[in-house]
Amino acid sequence: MRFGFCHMILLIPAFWLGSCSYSKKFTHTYYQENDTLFQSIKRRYKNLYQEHPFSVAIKDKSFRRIAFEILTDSIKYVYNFEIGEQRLTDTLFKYKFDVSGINSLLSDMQRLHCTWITNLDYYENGQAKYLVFVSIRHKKLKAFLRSEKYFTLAFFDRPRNYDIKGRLLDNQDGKTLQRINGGLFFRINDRVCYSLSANFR
Amino acid sequence: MGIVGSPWSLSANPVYRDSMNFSTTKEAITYLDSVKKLEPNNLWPNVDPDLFLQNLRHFATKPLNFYEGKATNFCSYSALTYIPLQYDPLGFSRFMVTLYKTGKARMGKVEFQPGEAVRNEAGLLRYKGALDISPAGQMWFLCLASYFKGYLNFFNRHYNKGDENTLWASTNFAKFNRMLRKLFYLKTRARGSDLIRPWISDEYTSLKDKMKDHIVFLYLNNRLLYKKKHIVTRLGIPTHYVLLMDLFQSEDGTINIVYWDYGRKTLQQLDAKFLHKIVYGITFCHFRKK
Repeated sequence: MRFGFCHMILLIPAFWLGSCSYSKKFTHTYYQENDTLFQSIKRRYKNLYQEHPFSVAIKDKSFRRIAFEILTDSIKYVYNFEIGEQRLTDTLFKYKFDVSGINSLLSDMQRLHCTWITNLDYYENGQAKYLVFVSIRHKKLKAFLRSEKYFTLAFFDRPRNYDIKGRLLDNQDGKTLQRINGGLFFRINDRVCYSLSANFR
Repeated sequence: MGIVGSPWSLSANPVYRDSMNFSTTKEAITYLDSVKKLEPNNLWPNVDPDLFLQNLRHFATKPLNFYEGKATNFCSYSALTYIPLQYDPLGFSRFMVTLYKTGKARMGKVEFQPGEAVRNEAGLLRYKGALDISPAGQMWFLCLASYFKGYLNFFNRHYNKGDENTLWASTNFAKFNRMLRKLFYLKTRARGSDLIRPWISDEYTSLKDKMKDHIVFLYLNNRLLYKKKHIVTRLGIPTHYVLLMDLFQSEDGTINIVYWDYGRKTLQQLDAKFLHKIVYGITFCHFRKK
């Protein structure tokens, strides 16, 4: 009885530690395995955004229901659709979007388990700059007794500086850690960094 | 949930009525022109005076661009700022310039005299989007948050760096209504609470009715309205304040809600059940007769 109890005491922390280990493995491999597709999504999104600003959130487990946010200077329209439904196509036509470009982007977002894509503004020396922000929801990021995390990626246009621990630094002073959506980001390469976040946007 | 033929016009601002104005944009700009230049002030060591005046001009000319910042708890302060920016831009500009020059200023029944921690922080908030380049906005938010306290602020009453994201800046429903009553010449009524939704059988009709002659603010469960996680939480609590700008029904019965937050209007389509689920508080107010 006492022997069993000792085993339990040892197993619980071991199990807990095991449940924490998902993230490191995932963050190191997922981007590398899908580098080309990520870069392609980023490039196409930026081109489509320049024609007509928008953001997309995928809202369900099966990656079918989306919230399509159409941004104008004064108002943001948020519409809910199922991918592939006629209303989505009608709306894209109405707002003069590149329908095939958007559909292809949505399909690649599904492939990558991407739940959110947007263009985020940040400020350096008083000037607005933009980065493409992408969130990934993946079953490998779920673990027993752990709340779900999202693998969030920030794509910059220019190379960025990182500290010795690989944390993203503010370009303005080169010392302060830069936060995006309240989180710290870590290096993947000089223009892409990641974070594990409790929120996808 | 059709979108074609939406009766909502892009330029419309159904909440706003000219007749209720205490001052105009033109008067505010004339006043700011008369100020010409402000000298750096040790009371606000991190506020750039030129940028500060530029911010005030922007607030006066584009009040709906007023931005509360990313990942802050300033939404309640931002929502109520609609009132001075839209109806008394001159009064707001004067208030802000006095606050900058003397470190204290009066609005409504409130004499603001923020402490050193707040004065030193104004102008330093970063990674909040456009709020980074709005020292005037930072001053205003920090002053409001440091002056008004509710039970949510009980354990964190004094500003420390980073508190704009914490309970220090948060606002319960009673505090929100108290701020409106103390700051502006308004007759304010409210329904709802922080935990229990108001007992209204038909929110759509009720809100539509209130909007005819009131400015309406909503206290919402934003976790449902603007999902940031995929998990379904049973515990619903309101966390976000918005100004309701319009409400109309599509032919298929879908409710289109237009609200103002984060420096722009948002149109979202909901069904009646969902609207009932997210609304925890309704504050409706109108100006007392001049």
